[in-house]
Amino acid sequence: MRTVLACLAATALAACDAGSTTEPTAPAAAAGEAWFVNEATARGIAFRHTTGHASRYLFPEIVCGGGALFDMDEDGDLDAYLVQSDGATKARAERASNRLYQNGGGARFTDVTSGSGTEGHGFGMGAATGDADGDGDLELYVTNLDGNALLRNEGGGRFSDVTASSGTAVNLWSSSAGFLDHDLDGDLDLFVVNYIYWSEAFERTCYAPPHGETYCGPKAYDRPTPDTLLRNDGDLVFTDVTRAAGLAEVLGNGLGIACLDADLDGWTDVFVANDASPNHLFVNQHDGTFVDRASLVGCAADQDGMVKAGMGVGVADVDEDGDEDLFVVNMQNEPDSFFRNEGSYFVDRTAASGVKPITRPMTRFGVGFHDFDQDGLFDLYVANGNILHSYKSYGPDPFAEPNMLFRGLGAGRFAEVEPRGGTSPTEAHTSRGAAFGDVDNDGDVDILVVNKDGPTYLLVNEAAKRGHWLGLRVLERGRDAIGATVEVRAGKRTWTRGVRSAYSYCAANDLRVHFGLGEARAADEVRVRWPGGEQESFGALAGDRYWTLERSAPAR
Amino acid sequence: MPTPRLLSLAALLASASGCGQESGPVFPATGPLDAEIEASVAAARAAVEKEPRSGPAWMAAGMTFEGNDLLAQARDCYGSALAALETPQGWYRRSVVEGKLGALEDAVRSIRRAIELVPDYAPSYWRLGGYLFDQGDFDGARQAFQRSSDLDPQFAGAWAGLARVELAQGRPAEALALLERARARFPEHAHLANLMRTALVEAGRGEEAGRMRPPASAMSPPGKDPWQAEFWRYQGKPLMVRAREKLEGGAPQEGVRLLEEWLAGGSVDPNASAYLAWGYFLLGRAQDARATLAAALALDADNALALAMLAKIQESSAETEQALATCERILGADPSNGAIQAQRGRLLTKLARPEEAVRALAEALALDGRDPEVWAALGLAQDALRRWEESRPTLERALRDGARAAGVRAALARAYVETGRAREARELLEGAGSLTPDEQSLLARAKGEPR
Repeated sequence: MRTVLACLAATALAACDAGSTTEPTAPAAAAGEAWFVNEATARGIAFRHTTGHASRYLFPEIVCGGGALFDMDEDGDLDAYLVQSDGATKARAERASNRLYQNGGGARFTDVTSGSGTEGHGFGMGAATGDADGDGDLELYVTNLDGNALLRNEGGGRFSDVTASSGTAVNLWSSSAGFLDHDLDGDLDLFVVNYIYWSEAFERTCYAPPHGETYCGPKAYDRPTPDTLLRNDGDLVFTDVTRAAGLAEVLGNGLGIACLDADLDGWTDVFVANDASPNHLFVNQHDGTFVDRASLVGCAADQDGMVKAGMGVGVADVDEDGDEDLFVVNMQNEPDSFFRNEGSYFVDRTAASGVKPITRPMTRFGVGFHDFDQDGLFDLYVANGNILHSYKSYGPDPFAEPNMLFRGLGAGRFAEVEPRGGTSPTEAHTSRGAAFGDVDNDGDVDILVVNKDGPTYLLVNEAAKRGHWLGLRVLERGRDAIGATVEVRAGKRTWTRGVRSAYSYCAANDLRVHFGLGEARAADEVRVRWPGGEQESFGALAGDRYWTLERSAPAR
Repeated sequence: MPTPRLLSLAALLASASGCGQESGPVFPATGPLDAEIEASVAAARAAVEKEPRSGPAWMAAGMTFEGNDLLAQARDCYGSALAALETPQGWYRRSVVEGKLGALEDAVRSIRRAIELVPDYAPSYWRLGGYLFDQGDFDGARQAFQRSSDLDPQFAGAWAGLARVELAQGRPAEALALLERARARFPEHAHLANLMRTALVEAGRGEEAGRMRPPASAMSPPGKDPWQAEFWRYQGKPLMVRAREKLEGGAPQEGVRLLEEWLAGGSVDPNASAYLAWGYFLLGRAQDARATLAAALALDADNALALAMLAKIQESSAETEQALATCERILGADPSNGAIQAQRGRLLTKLARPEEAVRALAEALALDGRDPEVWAALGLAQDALRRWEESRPTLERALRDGARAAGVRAALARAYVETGRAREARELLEGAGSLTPDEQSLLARAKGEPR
């Protein structure tokens, strides 16, 4: 057994110390106790998203709002990047810019946008992160309505726009995106989800009683697009291989992405949640091509064959059977889809999840499975905001809805946490992207929520903890091993989780892998299944701290 | 002394009415409404103000609101209706609205009361099964769906419900067996077909699922439901309006579902059939579309809407001559039909009969000049006849009003160039993003021939 362990304390991550001195307690959470506190303003994040809506209802305005939690300066804590939109038809120069917030430690943020090279003035949708040039720090890819941007991390909080030289602009309306090594050549390629062909000239007027004019849905335009696959050819030069990969003829209204090894063959597959068109599951054919098998394996539509408004995607091995399951959130009056992975196919187990009747009145976008209370069971957070004028009023914003938090009960069942959304008081804005990560390095997962035309939430996890935790940074050749899968065994329980940044909605998330261990104080064994399928054991690891796992076998 | 059961009923009715109103129920408020809906609501309000204790009047108001997706108001009205006069239909409708609002526990209570009042109505059990299923109570749902099926074996929704329960509990083989029996009874039922596809996938027979016809309208009518039909009939016009909006707004599955449910409730309406046919056509179900139209025209051979849909389908299927003949048949009965006259003009253009096309389109615009696409069509026909002095103002108006037809910009540029307005041509084309080869050529001409 090869074991390569390095406590991140050695690399100046404060959490190691915190983890070793903090003794988690395991009381049952009191009923009605808030799990999160919104501390955006107190911690320095003053970002307010704006669509720039004037009088005319322009379609891009209703689905925008995303961002990233990533360690941009390699100092061991998560920084925040928030994508601005501001006027679908405005000139770029007239738009407010994206904002970069540097975490100075302890989740104290400072706006360091100016001079960072991250301003960007596209009509922004979301972000993706990955070490595309293999130099150990994370590049930032920003998806826009009007041309995406690849920002190379130059170190020291500085970025340079390499969109043109890298060939990554993608002149389509892109929503979510994710880095992945689809061809196992050792560098990160880029999968970009595109929504519809749109320009102001295609805009339509739609009407919804009783409110009159409102936003249209994607079917009103009937202009679905293919997604885009950009192959990394090294030196930050990408080639658009969409057609060669077999993706050019597969159309949809893509919004959400999750890259996962759905069939456990060691190659990364791509799930795309589509709005009002069947979802895609692009199964990797090991030769640079993909085949959409969603309808054959049961995740294109729900159990009833209903094609719904797929928005964000959550991914986790909820049923602890070693493969990752998918949770696709949908719009008002449509239940979510909890697609449980059975190895070679998916089964829709939404009705048994307990979530169905609760989320259905809302329109859901950002979503993530994490064990927020560390009891060893995945919990579920859903960020909501309507696309039609709500019949229920949650304040002056007619699209506002409260978000929701569900506590995992095991066996794929969940119960809603009160107060709603896990905060007291319950907040209601038009939430879109939700990025998940441990911003204060205290060993639990916090949430950054981007609200359309509203202030940002930074939801700091204050939930009463019911157990222990384990945090892992998984590296291959010095970079985060996106596409690897980690298995943690403690007693009779085994948790599985992929190393990924891209899930939820228009969001880039913490690349570290977090496990709630429940009563176990340590993992009996931690195994990593590297991209390509080779497995490596890292033996037993103590809980309540972060570890770095570096691949010791020859990398690809 | 009231029995506990009566007390329970009293409490239920009090909760249904929203409060123990001393001064009588209050008509629900709304925000600003579309004129057509406003008129319906005003009529409903007038009826309840005339008879504030009339259960039927409150039911009508509730259905008016529900039919326009004003669900909270509908729920309040049904509550008032039940307080005035308890009926199973009132509880049934209230449960439907509560279900749509996501208040499933309330919906279960309401439908159970409807069942207490009328214990042998199959759709009530089907509704109950659906609510229980959504709550994760699969045993309860199975019992309810089974009862629905026992009461009415032709109620396809009950079979679908039973299959859903089997699937939700991880028993695809049982679901398949049930669905095979159900599909023998209901071979065209889309929801059952979709469930069959799901069951095949979950039974590890994904390849067979892949060979099935792609999913169409997932929500097929569940079966005979006169109480629901009462609702559809009451809401006939708004339903048609909404169905048409769905069809024309790019959501044909929704439109088809609305129309299928309405027609399955026993309604006979050639207009609804005509729209349903169009919906089928939009969903790629051309055979279903033509069969439905044939049935509609069998009921009413001169039904203008059915003929108009037939003409649309013919035109979209490149049956241009046939479409023209159908348009002329409609115009024979109704010469003032501007939309059909415009379609006739487009068809004549396609048939390379521009002189007639120009006359038809001009006549269409005289009847109704609001559609920029008709202005565009006229301009293009004039352009084909090289009547650039005429096409220029026509096309200017078309573009100004937002016409999207292909070739309009090029035709206007050509009109500018040919009438000595090179500057306008340059401004038009240089302001555009990308240019077609035709436009590039025109721009070159405009630049070479300054005014």
